[in-house]
Amino acid sequence: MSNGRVLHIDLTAQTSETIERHDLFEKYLGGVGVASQLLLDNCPPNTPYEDAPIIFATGPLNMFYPCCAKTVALFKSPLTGNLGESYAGGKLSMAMKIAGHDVVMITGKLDKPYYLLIQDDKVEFRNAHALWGLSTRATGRILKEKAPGEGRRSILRIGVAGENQIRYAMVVADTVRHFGRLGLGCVMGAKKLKGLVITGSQNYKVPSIKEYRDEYKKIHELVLKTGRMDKYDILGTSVNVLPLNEIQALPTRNYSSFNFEGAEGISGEKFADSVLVGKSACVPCPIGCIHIAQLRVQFDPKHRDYGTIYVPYDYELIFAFGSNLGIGSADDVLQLIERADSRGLDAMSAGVVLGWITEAYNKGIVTMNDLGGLAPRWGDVNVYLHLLDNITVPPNEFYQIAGQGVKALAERYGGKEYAVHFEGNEATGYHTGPANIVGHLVGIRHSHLDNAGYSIDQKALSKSITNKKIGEMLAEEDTWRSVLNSLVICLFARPVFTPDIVISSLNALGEYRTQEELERIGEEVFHLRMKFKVQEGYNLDNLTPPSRLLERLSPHGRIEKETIDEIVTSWRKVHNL
Amino acid sequence: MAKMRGNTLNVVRPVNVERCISCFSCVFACSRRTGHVDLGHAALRIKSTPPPTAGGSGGNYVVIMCRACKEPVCLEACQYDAIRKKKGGGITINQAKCIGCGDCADACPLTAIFIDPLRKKATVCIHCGECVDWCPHNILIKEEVEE
Repeated sequence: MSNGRVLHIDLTAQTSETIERHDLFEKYLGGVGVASQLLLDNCPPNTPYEDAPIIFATGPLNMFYPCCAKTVALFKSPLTGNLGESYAGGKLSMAMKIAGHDVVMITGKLDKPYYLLIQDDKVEFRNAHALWGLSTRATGRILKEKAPGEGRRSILRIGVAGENQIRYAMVVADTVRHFGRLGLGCVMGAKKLKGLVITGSQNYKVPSIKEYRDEYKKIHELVLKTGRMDKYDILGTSVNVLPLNEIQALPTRNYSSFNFEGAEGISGEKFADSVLVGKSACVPCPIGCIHIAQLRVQFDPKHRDYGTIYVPYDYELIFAFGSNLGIGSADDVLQLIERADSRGLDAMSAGVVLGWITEAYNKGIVTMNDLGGLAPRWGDVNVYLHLLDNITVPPNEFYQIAGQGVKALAERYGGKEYAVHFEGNEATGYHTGPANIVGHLVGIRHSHLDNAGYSIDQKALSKSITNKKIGEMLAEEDTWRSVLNSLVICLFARPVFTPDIVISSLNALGEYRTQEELERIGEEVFHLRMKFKVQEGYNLDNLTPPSRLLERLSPHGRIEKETIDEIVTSWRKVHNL
Repeated sequence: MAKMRGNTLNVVRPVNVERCISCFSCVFACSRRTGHVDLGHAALRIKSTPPPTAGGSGGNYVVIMCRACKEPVCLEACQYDAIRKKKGGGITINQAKCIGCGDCADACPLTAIFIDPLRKKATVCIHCGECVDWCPHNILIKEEVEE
């Protein structure tokens, strides 16, 4: 259920107003659909990222059904210079709903650090001078103490990486979730916005409580009793480590190989059996996919001084700070996750940057002098911890560029052939084959979650799929995921939210849509974002797959450029691009 | 004494709360029972506790709900005669009399009464057991009690 309300906060003027935009929700469902139109309307071509809006959007199912617990953020990515699109769970979509806002749109910028406290229609600008320079963890603790709404709010904050304009700085949402990718933390930092707390007291009445209860129960049971989401509930996403390693698709040592000899030490099973201390969930979602590990840190061996830190982990972080750096110890991976988390860095981009630095150092194109005396070595966690600190607070030009990502590093120092990124966004933890590569190349946010090419590749291992068909499958996923992301359903729940369930769950809230209509909207929402991307310089005629991924064998063998081209051609035909 | 028809006396309480994942399935089940989708009508809450040693995040989640006291201290705190003792323990709150002042919530050592700021009414668990089946980890149990 959406009431079509957009809370517009103008940071420059320090004012806010509520705008009714039922029309956008009618047209594009909500979430990324509505946010895309708002972005196009409020971000003229080539707007610098600090002047571009940040748009947080929810959809009609958020808070009303299990697993409908994500919020989308659209912004201008400082990392790619193009569309920024990122998703976080936690309590944000619930808090936005109970505050009565389907969308929060933040424009302009502040002259000094502030954080925002949003309570229903009231927006307070609170001085954050004393918070500037604090870690995401300390900031989170202070906002918890200072802001009202315990148990019914969401808290976003950035770390020093965001303040210091690291282009892949992230935003922590409710301590264990993140707007991780594409640099939302950097945008908030540029706007001098240290954090945001949102809470409220609104109430919703559904058209028929009986119908709604029945529908809720049906979905609750599909989620919990059919096994469709068990992998997320039991080991979580880290269940992927061993199977991907088995098929030789687990990026290792900066994507130089895809089979890591230390995979057992960082497997989902290993994490669960040795360091997992609890699970957590977004609201509302009965799947505890958020796996939290205990990291016992030894500070002074002589004095037997220890501290304990709790760290959430997931597959992508394990790849980025584990196999990709030659690290085979769960504790070492956790130390790096924790460091990136508290500094406010996207772990995935950071891991790929560290991988590139290590290889570039080994090949002699960056020197110990560039690195401020550090000598990176695969598997050496201590040097990687230092590198993360230096990226966050750059002591020299090299680290300043490292804070802009591997594309910028390779442009300055060379080593393009092993700078693994798509359009400037660091690659993800899969080298499954051609569908994965094309999926990232043409994906709206150049992410594995745009269209799940990695999944198509794995299906194609047991039964061959033609290039034409792969292109069609990717396009179909783009479209359907545009629907799910307009509803802002967790993509882990996509086996539950099939078209018939999406339709019946909307019906029970008084919104009537047909499958054809949903698919049409999905395609429109896809094109809205493509329009923005083209406006900002994205060119489908000029796609560059990372040469490292073409050069190294995948589970499908060597991937020829012609294969990529054939899949792209088929994909473009379906989308009419 | 004979039990009221169709109304066995129950007390709902959390067990093994360390398993809680803070999914709010119980919270929303509670407000859904009243015909609403909100937190204002929910009579229980999930909160996170500080970690075992100082600093950082990493405490456990806890379920905050009425313990069904036999001698409820909240009763005395109400100046509006809105609270009555409930058979089997705990209380009921007369919504017509309640003005949402919050004195009962302040008096409760667990702060297990919640004020809905929108309606300006206090909400408390009546131990109906609706939440019990929704918990994915069987943390909430319903026990029959003597009057």
